[in-house]
Amino acid sequence: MVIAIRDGSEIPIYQQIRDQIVMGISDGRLQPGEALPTVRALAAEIGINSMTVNKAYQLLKLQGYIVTDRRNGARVASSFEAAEGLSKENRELLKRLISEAKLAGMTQEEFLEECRLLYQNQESENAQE
Amino acid sequence: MLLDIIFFICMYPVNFILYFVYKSFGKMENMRKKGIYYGLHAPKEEELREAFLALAEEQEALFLRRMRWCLLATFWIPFVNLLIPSVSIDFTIWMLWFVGFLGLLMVPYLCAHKVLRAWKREHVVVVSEEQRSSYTELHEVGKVRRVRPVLFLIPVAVSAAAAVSYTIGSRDSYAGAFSYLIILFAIITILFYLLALWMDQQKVLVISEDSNVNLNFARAKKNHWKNFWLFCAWCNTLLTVGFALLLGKTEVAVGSTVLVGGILYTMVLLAAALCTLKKLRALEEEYREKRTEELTPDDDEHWLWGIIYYNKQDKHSMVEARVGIGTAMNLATPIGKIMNLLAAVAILSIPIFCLWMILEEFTPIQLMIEDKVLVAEHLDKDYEIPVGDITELELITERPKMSKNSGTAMDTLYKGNFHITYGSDCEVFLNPQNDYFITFVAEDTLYYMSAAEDAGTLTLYESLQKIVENQ
Repeated sequence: MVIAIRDGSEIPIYQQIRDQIVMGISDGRLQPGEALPTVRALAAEIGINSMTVNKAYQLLKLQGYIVTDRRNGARVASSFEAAEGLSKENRELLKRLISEAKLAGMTQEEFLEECRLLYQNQESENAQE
Repeated sequence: MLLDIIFFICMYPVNFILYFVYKSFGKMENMRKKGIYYGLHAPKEEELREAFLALAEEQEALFLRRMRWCLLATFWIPFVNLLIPSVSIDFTIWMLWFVGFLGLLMVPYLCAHKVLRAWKREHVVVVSEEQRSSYTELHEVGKVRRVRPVLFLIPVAVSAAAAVSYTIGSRDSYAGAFSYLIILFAIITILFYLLALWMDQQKVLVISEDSNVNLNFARAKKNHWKNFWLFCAWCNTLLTVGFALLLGKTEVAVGSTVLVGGILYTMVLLAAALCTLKKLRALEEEYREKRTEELTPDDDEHWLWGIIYYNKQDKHSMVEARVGIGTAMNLATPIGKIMNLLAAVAILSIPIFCLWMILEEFTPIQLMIEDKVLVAEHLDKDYEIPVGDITELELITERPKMSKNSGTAMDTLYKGNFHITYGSDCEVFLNPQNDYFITFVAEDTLYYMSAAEDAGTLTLYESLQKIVENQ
């Protein structure tokens, strides 16, 4: 799995790492139980401070995407708790996306169709894995 | 003349090989494998890309023509050099020719780079640093390693053992003088190991969205480099052991041993380097179709002349080289700065060394008596021997055959510690072209000396004789 880091982005680097690992788990590029690199090794590979990677891992652990223990290091969680809906942050993010889509002239149907297609794409990618 | 022939054999073919290697760097078929043309990325937009590649092809024809001109302008110089009798001037011209030739070979490449860069500046909108992404392979982070310490342990241990046993075993200064050479070669074996280790830790290059492609490419590439450094380490070990066995033995001709060993060693390493270059090119070709163009960020502005990498944002000290194969240093990192400084010192030391050689050869030696002290002066005061200590003073017309342990041995100057063939060590300060020399013993050390000319030697001998007789 390839992760892309944009130094000049408004999104902090730890958040970029976190988001891409979540996307990797979601589309099957990272399998449940799969080992993640150590904080130090990943920081050296990306060329960033290990505190930044550590923060991303802390966040992932807090949100239940990964588990860590001293012997095995960080791993993708084996199972994920079913959520009742979107989190508060993601709901806010979706609101922002809807606003931008509206301003760009998209209709409700077009927006929902775009969402449906993206969702289906990920489903089919998972099936292929 | 002998030195001329040695230089000719050692350096002339190397320059021809470098010419063909440099030439291959500027050929379109090789540049396509990496997608980098004269140190620049081709634009991603189709129309611009086609125009850029057409211009690169035009530049290729010019590049090849300019390369031929560079060769024509320089290939004859070593032949003229064969006629020059002075060792230091000869050496200076060889060094300047070698460095100048290497620099000159870069000119056609830089000309093509300049034209393409100007075109790119005019036609392509550069993606700002903020919008650019850097890619990292998440799988097997820090695990794609090919260098295992155990592989290098044997050559390192053998080299070290040869150096230690030689240093401890050599009792006379004649053999001892070569200890430094053998220790130096033993250290080079360790350096090869460290270089292998350093290159092995290079980041996995992301060339595709498929992790297997990235990892297999990195593994294959690191494997080639590991094999190359391991081969170098073994060659160096063989040379170290060979020198330890042969040098210091009176029946072995030192000069020929070092010369033949050195030439063979250089040729074998050069062949290994060319072989690795070929293998890495084949690997690039194999993975060309699997490369995802979008994953290669256009960071041309961080590459000075498409060759030197300077990027403060990038913490990696080593990145994939743009010209040719291998790696390039990031000069913005502390390691890059240190390596750059060392390279600058190495290059600057060449003219300084040449100047020193010229001064050594052309400064006449001076032998005089000052306040009952025999003073031998060349670039500095080399010997100060109280006349009272001198015994067994003799004037000789036939100098014994001797070879240098340490110091200078030129056509017009012998200076330093020498070894008399089938004899003992001695201190020497003389012009070997003279007919008269003085020899004496002072504080259990045997000396051979002369003034710049015979007349001076004879006058000094008479003065010395008088003083010694009066004591």
